[in-house]
Amino acid sequence: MENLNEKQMEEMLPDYLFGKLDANTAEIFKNNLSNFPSIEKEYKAAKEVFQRIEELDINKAFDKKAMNLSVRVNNRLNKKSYKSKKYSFFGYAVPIATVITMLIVFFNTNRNTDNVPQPQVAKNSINQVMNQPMITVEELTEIIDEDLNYTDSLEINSQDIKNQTDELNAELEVVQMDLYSYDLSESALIDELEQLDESEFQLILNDIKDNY
Amino acid sequence: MFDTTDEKAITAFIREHQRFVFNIAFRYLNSFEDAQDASQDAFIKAINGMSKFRGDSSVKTWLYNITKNTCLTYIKKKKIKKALSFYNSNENKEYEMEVIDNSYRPDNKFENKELEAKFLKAINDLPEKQRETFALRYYEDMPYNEISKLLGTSVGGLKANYFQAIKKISEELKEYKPN
Repeated sequence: MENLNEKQMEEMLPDYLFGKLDANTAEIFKNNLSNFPSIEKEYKAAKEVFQRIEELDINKAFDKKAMNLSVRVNNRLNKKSYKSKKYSFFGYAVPIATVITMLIVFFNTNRNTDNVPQPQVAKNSINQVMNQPMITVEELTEIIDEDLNYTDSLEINSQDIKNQTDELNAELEVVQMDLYSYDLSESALIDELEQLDESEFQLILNDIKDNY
Repeated sequence: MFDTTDEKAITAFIREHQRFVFNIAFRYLNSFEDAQDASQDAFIKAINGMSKFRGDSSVKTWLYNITKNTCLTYIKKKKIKKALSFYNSNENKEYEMEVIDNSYRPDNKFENKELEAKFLKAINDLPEKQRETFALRYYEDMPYNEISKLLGTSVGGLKANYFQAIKKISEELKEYKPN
């Protein structure tokens, strides 16, 4: 028979108690137990206590407590997944929509900002947009050049109108002169007609009839 | 190990290891409610970090480390919460409350509840190494060499710890005789 020391007996005791030793080792432990009264006493006490504990079926209680763990974990994972999807949607869609809205508000309200009172939110949006570097220096220069060209064209048109007005005034003066000259010739004609005799008047009438 | 987006695979994985994880969590937190919360956190960490599992150790070893770290974090958070809220609860009272709550039960069941509470308290009162060795060997039937890797203790040391744990528990519960 193989003899075991006290330390070896202590190390084997729990596994012997719970039936975890192989048959051969269990037999060796059992045969040596009577050689160690203190260990034998420990063994008997532990056997009684754990026999009662085994009756409790604590594992069943633990299983009951841990029963819905998979459902809870899956729910939390699904919620997390939904949140991340929601975040990805709101994380991109909302800022884009906000910027678009701000631009629409800005361009729609910019036309009549002097006269039409703006809501505070719209004003804030406009201020935010105004604070953004919307255009480059090159673009700004191009816009100013276009405005200057437009102003030049306006000046040219004004000059044309002035010239045309002058021409019209000149024409008007000519017409007025004609009218004046017509007035003078008409009075002279009346004087001459008063001095005509009957035969000369008849000749003029005949001449008019022939021409018209 | 498995597709972490597959709900069925996740459920199967949790069911396989839920008792193990819950037991570890309970040993550390000494409360069923906290153990449930910590177990959920541990499984979520494990599933999210599944790609990092290289298979160098067993799944149980990997899960044990995750659960242990989760529980230690949980304890720290709880301590801070207690300090902030001046909440002063005696964790051991939880077992006593369970006994009181079940006082309407027949004597035998009452005694069982009391024994269960005292048994859990006795485990909780063990030094950490003895408690962990007892939990992993008694509840999980884990081989000594695997526990040795987990806890960084020699097999001889584990066997000695296990014996001491059994001895202390037996002494604590010596008043209870078999039916």
